[in-house]
Amino acid sequence: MRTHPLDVTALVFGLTFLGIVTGWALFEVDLIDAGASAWFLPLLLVGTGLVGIVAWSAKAAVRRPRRSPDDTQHLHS
Amino acid sequence: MVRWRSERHDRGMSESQQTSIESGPVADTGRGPRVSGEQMRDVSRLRRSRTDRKIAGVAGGLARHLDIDPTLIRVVLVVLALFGGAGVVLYGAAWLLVPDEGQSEGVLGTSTETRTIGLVIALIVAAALLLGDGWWFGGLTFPWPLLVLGLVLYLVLRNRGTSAAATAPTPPTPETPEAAPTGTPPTGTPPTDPSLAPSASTPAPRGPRGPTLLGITTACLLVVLGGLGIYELAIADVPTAAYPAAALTVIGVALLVGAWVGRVGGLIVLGLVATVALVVTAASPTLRFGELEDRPVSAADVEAQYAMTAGRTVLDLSGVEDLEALDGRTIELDNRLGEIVVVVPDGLDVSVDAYARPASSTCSARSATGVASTTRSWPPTTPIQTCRSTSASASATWK
Repeated sequence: MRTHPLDVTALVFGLTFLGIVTGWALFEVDLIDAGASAWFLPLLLVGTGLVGIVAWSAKAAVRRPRRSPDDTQHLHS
Repeated sequence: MVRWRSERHDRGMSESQQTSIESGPVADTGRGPRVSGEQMRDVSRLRRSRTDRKIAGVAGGLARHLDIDPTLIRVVLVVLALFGGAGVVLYGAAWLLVPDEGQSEGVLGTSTETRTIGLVIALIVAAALLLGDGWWFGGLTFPWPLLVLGLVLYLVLRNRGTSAAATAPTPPTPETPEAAPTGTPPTGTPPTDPSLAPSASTPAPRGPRGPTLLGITTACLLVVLGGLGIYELAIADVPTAAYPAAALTVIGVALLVGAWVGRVGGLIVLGLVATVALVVTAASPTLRFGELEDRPVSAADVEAQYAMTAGRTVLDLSGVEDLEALDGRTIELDNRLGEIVVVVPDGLDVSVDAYARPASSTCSARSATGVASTTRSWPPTTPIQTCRSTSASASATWK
């Protein structure tokens, strides 16, 4: 299957959505209580945000020598 | 709100060039130039749009006033309406106070100063509603509205940027491949079309390319949601929140796939909708409508919780034989919309703590020997009614 350059936005939102579902499921089966779930979402957002920053930086670093960073422009807007 | 303020200052610079266009019809109504202060004059220039309106032209007018995309305003208003109704308050206030294009007075016919003050009050009320609502997710205190609002704004701005960029360099495609077979009798050209089409279209898209994932994801969503429905009907109950959770899982997986393969257009918005649905349904675990009536005959039959989304909840404890076993028990009755009736038998001391939202709630208690009833306020705007029944048969009703 042909892949394209990493879509960081899709990656971050995909991870965030799956993380939210995981948090809900853990809470639903009583693996985490209300107190723990309070920590879950902020930590999740920080985590996926960091993944996004790292992925974007890695992508920009790989791209810079070959091409202008024009391709990543839509990520700024 | 911050944005509004900063835009207002920005516009101070360009106002002189745009005055003739922006306030032309307004200035012609005979009122002349506004004489109040700088900010006052800016707000007073706000008009509801006649040409770009979905309901009353508030979003269109506000967008022109702020020189931004009306879609942005509409999305923000809808999101704000979902959380605590802040969007409804803002829209309603603007509808009543802000004049139509070419008019100098709004529906309420207020003076400019009153209008400005009214709009500021509406902003404050909306902010209070926004901050007071949606801070829950299984006990989690988190500013959900702000998060969702931020994401939606980001997406709208991002889409606007890419669509503007995409329309500019679109190469003129001579004929679409499907136009040839339908419009003209079959010729020798169709076989060459498939090879031509990709090569002609490949230079155009800049970002991720490939087949869009929206269609296949929607199909998967239908299968998963339908399957869950069949499972619930045939095998076991599932919590309502399982549906948006399943949808969110499918969308999340599709997005992860889309990070490397295909295009994810629309999936993120779909995921945000599913997230909101999950949060809403997780907060009220079961959606139940109608009448919930329970007449337990033993203390063991009395549930700890009775939850109802909308309708009538009746708990008749008069048939319980082993009343002593109820000592120290706490029974929660949650009825989001409707009426709760609790019938208490003789010889049972009951302490009732009831709180109701919104503020319009009444508590009445009837008893053979008397029920002490007190009312206090919690939280500040919401009344809490405490009906204390001391023995005897009592029936307390909250509406």
